[in-house]
Amino acid sequence: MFRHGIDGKKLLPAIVVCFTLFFAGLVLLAYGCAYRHLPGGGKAPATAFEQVLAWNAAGAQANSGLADTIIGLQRAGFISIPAAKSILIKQGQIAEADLRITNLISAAAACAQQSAGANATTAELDAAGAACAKISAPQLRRDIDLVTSLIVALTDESALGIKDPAKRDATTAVVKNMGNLIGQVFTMLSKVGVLAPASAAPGRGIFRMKEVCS
Amino acid sequence: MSIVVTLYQLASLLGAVVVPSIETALKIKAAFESLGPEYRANIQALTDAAVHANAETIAKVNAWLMEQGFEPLPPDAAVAK
Repeated sequence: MFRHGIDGKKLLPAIVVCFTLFFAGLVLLAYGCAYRHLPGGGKAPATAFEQVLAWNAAGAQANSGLADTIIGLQRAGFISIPAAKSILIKQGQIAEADLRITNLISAAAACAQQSAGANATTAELDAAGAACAKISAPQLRRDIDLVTSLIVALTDESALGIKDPAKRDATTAVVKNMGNLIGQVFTMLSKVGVLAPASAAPGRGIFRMKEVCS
Repeated sequence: MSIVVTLYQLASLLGAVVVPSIETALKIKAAFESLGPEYRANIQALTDAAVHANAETIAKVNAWLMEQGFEPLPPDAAVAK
């Protein structure tokens, strides 16, 4: 198993983890505002609900990639089973809450087109979507707050539970990117009037809020 | 984007060390940057991507929990409704 001091069982998972973190960080850092390609070759800003769904999908993908990373770290011996269990259960709870968020936002986005019509402008779709989403606002707020508080807890746990400093920092960066993405979702839903902007949700202030796309 | 793809290809050549989730993340990034003109199609594609990723996460977590001898996540009553 050991050749030149290298544990072959741990080498491949360690490499996988390293590349997973690298690419997840790179991909997430590159996210900005979504835009539509128009038939004539031009570009147009995405509607508010397309943008929210794009950030939401990116966050869900990051969570999925992070689960691979945590499992890889545990198998490679960089994190204990109890620490991995605690992190993975939180990730599962985030995924469950995000499924509910996805369903609510998607329903509001579909409702927007039905009420605004097939030829509606971006502004008309945004207004109609906001009106459609109002009925789901309390549930959306609960689930966004739940995801935010779970991500805050994950930030602390990944910082404490992973022994290797480089992997710990990279994992924490991915978790913070997930926090930024759910923060963007919250900010855009506030901007279009679905959610109240003021928030006492735990930890919301710790995530970086970029300027919301117009 | 091109540098990401180049690095991805290089990493793959070095021994297929990039796990599938990163390939998926790259696909999502491409979708993120190239939404089509049709609102409904964009909404559906982004919804499907999120639902798939979340279902995948829950399945991975449950598989790991059971492999380690733990109970899987309890069913989400709010989703089942």
